[in-house]
Amino acid sequence: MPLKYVAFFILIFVSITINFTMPKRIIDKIQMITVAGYDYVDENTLKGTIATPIFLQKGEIQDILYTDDASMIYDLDTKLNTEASEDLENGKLAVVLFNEELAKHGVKDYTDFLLREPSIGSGLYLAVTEGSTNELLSSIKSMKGAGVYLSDLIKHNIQSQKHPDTNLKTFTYSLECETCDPFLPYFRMVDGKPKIDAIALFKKDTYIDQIPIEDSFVFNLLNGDIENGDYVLERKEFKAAIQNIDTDRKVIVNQQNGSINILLDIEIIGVIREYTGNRVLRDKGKIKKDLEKELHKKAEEMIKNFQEKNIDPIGIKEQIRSKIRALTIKQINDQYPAITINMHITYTNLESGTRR
Amino acid sequence: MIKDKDQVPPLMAFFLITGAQIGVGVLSFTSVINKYAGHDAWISIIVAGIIIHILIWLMYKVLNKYNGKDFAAIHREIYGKWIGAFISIIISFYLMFLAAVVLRSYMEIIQVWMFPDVKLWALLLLIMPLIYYIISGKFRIVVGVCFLGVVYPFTLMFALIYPLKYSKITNILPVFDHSLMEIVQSSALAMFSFLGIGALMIYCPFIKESSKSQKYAHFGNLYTTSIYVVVCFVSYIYYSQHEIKDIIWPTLGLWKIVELPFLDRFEYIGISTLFFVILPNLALYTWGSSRTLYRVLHIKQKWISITLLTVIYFICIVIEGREKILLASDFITKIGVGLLFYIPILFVMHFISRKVKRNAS
Amino acid sequence: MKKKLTEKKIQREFEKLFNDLKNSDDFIDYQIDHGTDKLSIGYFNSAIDNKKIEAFVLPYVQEFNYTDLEELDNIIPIANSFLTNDVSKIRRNLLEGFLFIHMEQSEQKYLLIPVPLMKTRQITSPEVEFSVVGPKEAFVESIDTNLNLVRKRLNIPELTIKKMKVGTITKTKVAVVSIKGIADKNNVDTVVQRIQDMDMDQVIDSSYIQQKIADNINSPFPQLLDTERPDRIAAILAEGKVAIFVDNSPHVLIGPTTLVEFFSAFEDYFLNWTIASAFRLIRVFAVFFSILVTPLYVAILTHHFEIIPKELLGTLVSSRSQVPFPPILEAIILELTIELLREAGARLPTKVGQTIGIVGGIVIGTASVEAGLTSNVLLILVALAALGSFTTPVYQMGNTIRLIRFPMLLFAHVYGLLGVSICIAYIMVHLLKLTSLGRPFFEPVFPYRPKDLKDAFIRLPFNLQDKRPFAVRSEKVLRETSNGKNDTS
Repeated sequence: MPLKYVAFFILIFVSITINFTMPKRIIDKIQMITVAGYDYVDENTLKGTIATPIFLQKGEIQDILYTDDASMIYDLDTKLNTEASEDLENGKLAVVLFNEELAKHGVKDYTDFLLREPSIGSGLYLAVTEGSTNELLSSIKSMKGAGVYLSDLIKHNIQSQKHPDTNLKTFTYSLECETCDPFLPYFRMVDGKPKIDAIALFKKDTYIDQIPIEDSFVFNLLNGDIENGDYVLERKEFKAAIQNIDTDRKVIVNQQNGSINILLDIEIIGVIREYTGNRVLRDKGKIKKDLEKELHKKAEEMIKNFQEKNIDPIGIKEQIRSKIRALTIKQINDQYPAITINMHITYTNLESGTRR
Repeated sequence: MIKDKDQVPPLMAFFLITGAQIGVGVLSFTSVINKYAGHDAWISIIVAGIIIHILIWLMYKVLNKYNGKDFAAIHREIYGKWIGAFISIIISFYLMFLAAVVLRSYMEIIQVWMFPDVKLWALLLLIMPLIYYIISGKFRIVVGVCFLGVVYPFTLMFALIYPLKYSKITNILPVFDHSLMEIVQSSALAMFSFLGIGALMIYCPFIKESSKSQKYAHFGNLYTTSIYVVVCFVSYIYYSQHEIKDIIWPTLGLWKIVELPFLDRFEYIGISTLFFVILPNLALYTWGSSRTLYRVLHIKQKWISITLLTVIYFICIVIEGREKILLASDFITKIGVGLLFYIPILFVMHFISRKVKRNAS
Repeated sequence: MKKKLTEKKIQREFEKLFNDLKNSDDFIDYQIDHGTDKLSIGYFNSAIDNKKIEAFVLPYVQEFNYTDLEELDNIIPIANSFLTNDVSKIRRNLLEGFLFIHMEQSEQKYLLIPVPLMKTRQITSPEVEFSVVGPKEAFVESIDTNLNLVRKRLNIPELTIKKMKVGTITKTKVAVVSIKGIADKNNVDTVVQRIQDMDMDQVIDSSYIQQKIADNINSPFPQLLDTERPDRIAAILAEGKVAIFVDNSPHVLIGPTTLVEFFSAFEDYFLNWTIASAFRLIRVFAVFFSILVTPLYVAILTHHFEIIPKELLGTLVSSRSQVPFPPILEAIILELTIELLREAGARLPTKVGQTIGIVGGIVIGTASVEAGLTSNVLLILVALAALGSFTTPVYQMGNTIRLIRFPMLLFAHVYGLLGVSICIAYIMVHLLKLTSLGRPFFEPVFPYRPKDLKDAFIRLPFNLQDKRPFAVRSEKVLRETSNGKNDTS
């Protein structure tokens, strides 16, 4: 009996002592990169800027920016480590920015690193910036630190339906999926502050177009169900602010004589919160009609644009694939620019606030 | 004969079957089985589950005929002393190697996700005594480990709710997009995830009224199948097929998206909790291996266990790197599936041997 | 001739006995004249009650008339006196508080009269297992009083008491108590057998027996429950368990027991089942929290910073920014401080102990944070963990819970969350292996007995608990009820 215990003790003791010196990542002995930005320099070089927070007392955070040129992201990391006072760790990376130039050349090479590295989470936000990411990152003066600031900025815009849901997971999903194309938020510097200005559209991994953020409601409408969105209908005679919008998108796929026919059946339910006309109750029919018409027009333009550019950020092709067995993915991709997409948008007003 | 005190109630067959089946494979099987059937591969799991049900049924047919006898004894009876012993030893080596591969695969996950710099040989020194501690006791302890290894990690299933937020049901539509042949081909791959049921033939005498336990054994297999189907379903609506084929451990990827107010990145919790999933595997396989060897060689089980664990230890150290691990697990799963088909052979053999004996007498 | 020889032998033995006894200065013997005869009286002064001798022995000896010891025996109004000439019997009884009277004429006959000094503590309210509601009696250091406290609650003929004496020097009285027909005979036999087989020179307290007869003496987990509440003993005996009473010990041992029993306070049975269940769940949570919180802190801060949400990150990092040590050292320093405070508090008189606790807790805690030796987050966690470990109703289990943290801390430091998992696995397997009087200790979790779960992590109402727990293998599984026909007299 005692021999057994002694043997146990020795084995465990050896195990503990041998690995005792294993490199550790003690929370305050590392620098956590919270945001990284990549700018295009030339074909083989990129310029990376990373921000790591230094936590001061009482919840104050000061960012340190490191920047350098490198050929790939890991190379950059090793280079930047020579500048940093502590080991740089990717584990808490919250936002990764690409500048427009880089995005135009394709981002796949850079997202590979994010997927391969096990310590990086899938919830991080990717975004495209108009100017250099370095400039954007150095412009942020927030007690939260650049990483948390930017990720909160994107997160609350997603939550309030200003921007469609996006993160590393949805981006790579659309990138890897053979029928769809991804989109990302697009930042522009306004008065020295970053602002989500548009939705950047990608054809596979290259940035090709953008939708202004004002039209994001229509994009959301086409992309899927909205919960708690808002929209302002502007006419010459009145203005109406519609809130608490819930939408329900149904994609009906028909195949007739070999040509594919798509009907987007979108139901909108909302509440009128602000109305400059006379009485909501009386103008109900008009508001409904005008709203449906306006949305229909905008949506049609948007889809036409997608088809012209042969991109599918709203997942129409995936719907075709999942509903028609006979078609191969290549056939769907080939047919996509030519298929007819019809829309049927209906609006139902539920309430009009506390006034008639 | 096994003492009444050492036997476990029939209900425990549930945990023994499930504990032996679910292992590290649950992290990676989704990106393996879709080779032929694509997004329909979750149907293949159901098919594989049904095949395993049949095999369990066959095993009980044989076991009920040889009341209270285990693999070694049945082999001796059917094939005679020498061939019987030989087959028993092969099965025991297989179980030992299986334990080694399971342990090594888990260690690989630890190396990739948690500690790239860990000295594996030292870490293994921590785990080996634990396995010895389990199997040196009565069989009851092994069953207890299986029980806890099934009940406790069940909580991990709740972590699969969060990824649903980012899932698209269109990913697995249209259902039955693949031919029956493709689904069956994939279900052959899915069988790898159900290995280890053969151990039933070894521990059966330790179950009280073992014929009553058949019901629970089937329930155990049903439970495994449903866990696999749920994991597979969630994975396939979360990933697109094109995406999942490049991912080694898709299930861990599912947890990467989990963000709770007190906890980010659930996969680290998941990996460490998964230790309780592989522990029943290790305990049951090594115990089964040492028990069979003991029944054949009649050496003290204690020394057999120590030797086996030493061998497992060295196998784990020798297998190094993704490719070798893949090679080893491919090898062992092939043998494993081969051995699954040994069960019907055994079933047929026992009929023949009965006939022969009846004719002789 | 032969008779004379034996008489001589006995004579020699008596001389030897008296010589031995006179070695101790508290042995008193003197002679009184009674008519023609001479009476000699002897006793151990430290073992007898002088008042009893003055009131019930000496007046009768001196004032009544009698011719031999038999008559005297009848006169003296004390029960249980007897005549003997057995030397060893005399020796033993003298030590236990008898006095002897010898008449020179009545040859070798000695009259032994019990006049023991019975001084024990008053029955007080329980201190370790105090409860607000319910009975307030606790066991004292006398086995007879303790047995009486139980007998009072279970006045049925089936309550059987088996008495033994253990310890070659102390000769401590031990009583194994069980209810015949309810308790499993095997359990009783096991206990009796193990106590009889005990090889010890001294048994000072029941904990000696606990350590000696436990199934696995190397385990840090106590395998026999000890209690100071007679009501708990009565309830547990009625469940079919076996109790071990030890003289001079206010704690009574109970077996067989299971792990969950250590986390149930007896007060749980006095409260409504919903409240009691909630309290039990809180206690179970406290135990897990107490064991896991510091190892998890060390594991996550040393290896897995990814797990911490970014909102929490700032708090943790800035609280640690002044600390020069790795988390493990920080945690060990604090844990040791708490242990020191507890140990110092336990060794000092109550009032001083309390002051030390408060002063130490506040001053040392604040100072160490300000000096930058520990982070304030960890200070909170360690204090909560210590608090959690004190919610365990059984003191010995509380100690175990506090101490198994230390190896776990080490595992967590080296192998992070995996280390914590491995350590939990070791503890779990250990618990699976443990038995209490040969019955599995981890029951009803494993062996899984859903029926026993009714009174484990939660306590369901009494009318659902119609069966005795399976773990004790009671001979009567059903709790017999009177079907509403209670005795009204």
